[in-house]
Amino acid sequence: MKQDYFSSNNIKHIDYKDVEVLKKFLTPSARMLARRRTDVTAKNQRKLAEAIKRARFMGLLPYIAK
Amino acid sequence: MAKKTIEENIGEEKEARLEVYEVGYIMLPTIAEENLGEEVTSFKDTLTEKGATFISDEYPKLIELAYEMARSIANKKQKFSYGYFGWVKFECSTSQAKVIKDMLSKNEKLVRFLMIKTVRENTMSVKRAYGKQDGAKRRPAQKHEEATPINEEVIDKEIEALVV
Repeated sequence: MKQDYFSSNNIKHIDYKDVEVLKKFLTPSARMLARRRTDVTAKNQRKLAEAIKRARFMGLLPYIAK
Repeated sequence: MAKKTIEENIGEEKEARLEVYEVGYIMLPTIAEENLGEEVTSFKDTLTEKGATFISDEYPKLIELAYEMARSIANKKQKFSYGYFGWVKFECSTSQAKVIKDMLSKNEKLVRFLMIKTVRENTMSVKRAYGKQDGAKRRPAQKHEEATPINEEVIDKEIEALVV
């Protein structure tokens, strides 16, 4: 049974400043995880992708990690 | 003619509509800690001048950026790997939002900024889950020292039994 992290933790808005949460959905090389790995709903996956991209732009997350 | 007036009306309504925005910004790390307060207040004053009403904010903190950012200040390209990251959440009309955005892009005290539409409520998730986990992990297991008194006679007898 798939469980959405955001709905189970009652997170309605995925904030780009919430770096600790966003890091859960990145690989060690800072790439975004696919939906089949995150087990997040399609709607939340889109929000998550947006939040990660915003965090990258603001220098809170790297685009790539060595 | 009638069509035009309707369009005008729609335009006016759009201008009057209020939205909640959030501006995340990275201030230059060259600003001294003592002067940071002044810079923040002047930054906020410029927003209020443009008709923003504040909802919440976070005071900038010096952070290490995930990568080096380039910003041209006075026609000179400079690179930064640190910056004061802070954010403000405010409400203003949609037309004023554009003015604010243009103004921020001209602000040379900022390395970078991000203006997004958001909601009035707090969007940061509560960090209870991590706190609990960490607490459970970090707490060392309590050592149960048994306070049963050592009976020497019993031990001596056991040793004798073993020897024999």
